[in-house]
Amino acid sequence: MQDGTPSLAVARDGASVGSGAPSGTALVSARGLTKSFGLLPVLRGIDLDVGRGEVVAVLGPNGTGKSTLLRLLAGVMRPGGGALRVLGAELFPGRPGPPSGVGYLGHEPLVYRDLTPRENLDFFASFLPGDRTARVERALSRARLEHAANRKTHLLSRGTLQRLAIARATLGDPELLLLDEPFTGLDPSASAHLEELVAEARRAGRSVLLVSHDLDSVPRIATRVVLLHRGRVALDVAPAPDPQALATAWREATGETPDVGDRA
Amino acid sequence: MTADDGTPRAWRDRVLPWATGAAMTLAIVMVFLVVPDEREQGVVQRIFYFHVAAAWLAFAGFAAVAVASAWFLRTGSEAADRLAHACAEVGLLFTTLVLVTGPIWARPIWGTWWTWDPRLTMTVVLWTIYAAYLMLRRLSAGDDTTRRYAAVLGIVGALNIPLLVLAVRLWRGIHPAVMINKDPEAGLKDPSMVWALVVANVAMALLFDWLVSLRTRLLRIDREVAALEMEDSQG
Amino acid sequence: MWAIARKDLAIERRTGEMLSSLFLLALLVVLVFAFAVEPERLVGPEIAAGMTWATLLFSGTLALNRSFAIERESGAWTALALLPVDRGSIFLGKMLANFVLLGFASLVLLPAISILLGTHGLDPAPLTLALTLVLGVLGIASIGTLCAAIASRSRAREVLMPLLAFPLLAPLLIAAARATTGALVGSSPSEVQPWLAVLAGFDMIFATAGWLAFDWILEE
Repeated sequence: MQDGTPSLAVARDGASVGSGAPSGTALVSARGLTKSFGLLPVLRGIDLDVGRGEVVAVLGPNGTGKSTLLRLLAGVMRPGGGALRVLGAELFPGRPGPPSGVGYLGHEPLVYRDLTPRENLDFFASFLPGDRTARVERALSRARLEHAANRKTHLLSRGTLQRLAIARATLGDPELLLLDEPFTGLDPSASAHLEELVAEARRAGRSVLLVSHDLDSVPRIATRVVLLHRGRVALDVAPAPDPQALATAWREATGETPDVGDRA
Repeated sequence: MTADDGTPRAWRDRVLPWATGAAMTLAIVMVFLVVPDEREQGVVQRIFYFHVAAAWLAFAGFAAVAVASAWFLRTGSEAADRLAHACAEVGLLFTTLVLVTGPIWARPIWGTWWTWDPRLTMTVVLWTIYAAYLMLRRLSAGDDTTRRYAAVLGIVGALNIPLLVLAVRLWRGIHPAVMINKDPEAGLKDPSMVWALVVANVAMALLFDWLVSLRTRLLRIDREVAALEMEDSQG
Repeated sequence: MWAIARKDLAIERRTGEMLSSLFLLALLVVLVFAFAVEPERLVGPEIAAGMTWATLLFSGTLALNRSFAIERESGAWTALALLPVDRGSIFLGKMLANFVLLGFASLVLLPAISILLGTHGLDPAPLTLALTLVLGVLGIASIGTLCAAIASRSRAREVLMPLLAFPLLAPLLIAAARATTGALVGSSPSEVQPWLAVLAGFDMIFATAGWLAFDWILEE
């Protein structure tokens, strides 16, 4: 933790000057990343670079490690092997440490049920620089949560809870936004709002990785598609092809139809 | 268990059983046939050689758990994790030996099976620490995170030992140890007694090493078998 | 660190889960002892001191399980791992919140147990008592927080946590009970100084250990 800080600062400076990946500097650089749960290998060696301003859609059949990849990049899970740099900081190998400038939206809302949405955001904002109240109010209004701000979180509807989760993930205006199936449980207008959020992040030169099951919306949102199959990158194309071409490419790469049902 | 996988450790697995057997036989011969009776305690004192040797080895084993745990946290080496696991198991076994031989020795000498003597108290607490350590491993999924948690506990357990020794000594006073006995005629007077203790220690150390090497190998094989089964069920 | 402690205390203020279960359990432990052993035999400062720490340990460790159960619910554990702060300070924050809750509990338990057991003729030394309570509760909070975090991932966490914590707390319990006994009969801090030294050493070692270890604990 103490020895991590200086190298982080140095690496950041380097990242802002250098020019590695084609579309700007690499915010994410993964080499041979692996992860197993117990004995079950989930990721079998992922190589991935994500540059500034890229919106990468991570696709693939269920159980191919999409969520695991995002959790590794978020620094909440430790890889089993390989090398991983996120925003210039070495997450693996090396001593574990907190990531910085990463926003992560998981399957679970990652908030405290016994606190109100405002209290939740206030708690998470207290670890960020700047005016806390202003940041919380901005996040509440951006997620259109003002009316629910003081309700009990465990009584919120699925959609409202998801909006709170998005507000928490984007609270620190992260350089790298990791969204794991962000559209689940959102009504159409909230989905549109999230799409706008992603587009905004892209215009601001931030990067987004999102796991999605919806082939139709991918070309509209993403600038690049990464298809995972059996723990490896089976396909990596930019710009994102249209749904038809995507389905064909999926079939060619995996030998399976892009039926995203509950097949493991 | 007879599988020879050709690793550099294989020769140890062949040599250790014989070395252990030989050293153990020599220790038994010395303790029961060579060494004279201790002046005050008589024949019962002969259990002392095995009791003390087991205690030292148990301590060394728990120290090894901490070292292997730190090594695992630094490098993520699965071999280090298995070594910590095996040392905790065998250390616990040796602690059990201490706790069994202790009362057998204490009953005729002190007139009671158990006293809250500092060393006994400390040994029984140590036993619970490492039993809990093994429970943690049993009651958790055997993944990387479990290994890291166990490693943290392995280090924290060792950190606890000096405090435990201090607290228990302050509480129960000093052990009536044979080796620091004030009576000039009692204690390890005969040089053969010291030699018997050394030989018993070597025998116990070899036994410890052999058991640890068997356990680490078994843990590795377990893992390989489970991996094969997993592969098989995946098709 | 302060923010995490404040958040935990806010949740506790709202739900009251930890303190209410802690007090109820503590009362039950005292009752169990009174029924199992004749209450008339449960007299004297040693018994009052020992019962206080025993009840605090039993009820406290179970209550400490809650401290990480709330982090496991809704995946808040992951949110903690995402915080851009030194993970050691997350440990210190959780420990601080648990220290406040257990400290509050001990302030109620000690007089309550003394009254229930009808301990007469005590002449407590306030300074010694305060020092012992602070150092002792800090130690339970440090080991308890660490063990609760380690146990929280297991399906058997309710059983596992006391299994891990009790043996590690043995030196603390010995020292805290002796020092409290001394405090109840009016000993000055210097008279129970060895015990206070053990407690202080315990606190320092395990607060540091937890602070360092949390880097390895928080990531899955």
